[in-house]
Amino acid sequence: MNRLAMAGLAVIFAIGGWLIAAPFVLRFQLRGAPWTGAARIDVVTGAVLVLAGFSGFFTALAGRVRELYAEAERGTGIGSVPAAE
Amino acid sequence: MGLLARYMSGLCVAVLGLCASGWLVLAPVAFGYRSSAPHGAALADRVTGGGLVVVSLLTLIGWAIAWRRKLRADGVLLPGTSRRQARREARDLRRRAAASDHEGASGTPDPAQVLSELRALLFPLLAEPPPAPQEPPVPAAAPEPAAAEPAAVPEVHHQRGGVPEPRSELAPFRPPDGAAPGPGQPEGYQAAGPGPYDFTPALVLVPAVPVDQLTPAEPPRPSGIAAIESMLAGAELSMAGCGEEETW
Repeated sequence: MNRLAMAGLAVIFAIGGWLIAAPFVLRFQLRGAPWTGAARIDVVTGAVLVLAGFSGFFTALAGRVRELYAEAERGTGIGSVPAAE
Repeated sequence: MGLLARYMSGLCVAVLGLCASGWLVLAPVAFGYRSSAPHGAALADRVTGGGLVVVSLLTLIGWAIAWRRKLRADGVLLPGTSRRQARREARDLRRRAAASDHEGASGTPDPAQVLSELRALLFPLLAEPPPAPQEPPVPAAAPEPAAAEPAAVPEVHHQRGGVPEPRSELAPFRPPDGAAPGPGQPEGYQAAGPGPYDFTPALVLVPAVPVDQLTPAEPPRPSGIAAIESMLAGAELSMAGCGEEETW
């Protein structure tokens, strides 16, 4: 379930990237032309989603790494090696 | 803070994705580029918004389940406690309370109260002094004079209607007077112990009476106090058999 949630954050980040690139990929924002309302909305929304997805993904990843370190210190983790006495 | 930030960030991003998807779906209508924008900008926004709704919902559910599992693993949430189960238990509790109120109002006597009144009625009888101990039945005479001595052993067991007196410690064993044990075994006794003179409290001594002289002993009749006690014990047993949770 943790992996599914992390993948969801990564997909949100990818959708934000797609929204930034969509006006230029679909060519409803021509290069050098004044920006249309649709292109402006897509780019702004995409930028918000990219920032949110990026920060959320790495915050969750950092929390997971912190949990792994804590489990390794307690010796209760799956892959933890008991400390030599 | 680290644990809280991890799950809260995931949930917040998922909620933000939901809001962004709604904005993407409604923006072509709100800004009026539904038909004027070239190359299907409105279509791209709606499709992207629809996909973002699904992804955000899955992410939200995933983070909620992961956080709930973590709280259960840490002991914050009790395992198996859900809102539906709590409602069901509360409903059962209300139903039992209503049923007990109905039984109390219908006039059914409470067995515990009946037993309390019975005890109060029988208390004067219990306070009477116990009757004089009955003389124990004299066992049949043994052919040998050494075997007639242990006849006083069952005397203790018939003083209170067959109920022996409580003992706090084990009494030391003493061979009966006049008994002259032989070199290997006491004369007139059959020792069940390991050694010839193993006088431990666990030693079982059986008087050696010939089989043809054995007479069936009459069972002692319970005296007044013992009869009352047996009546009360029977009533308690019947209460326990009826499923009463209260014990006496």
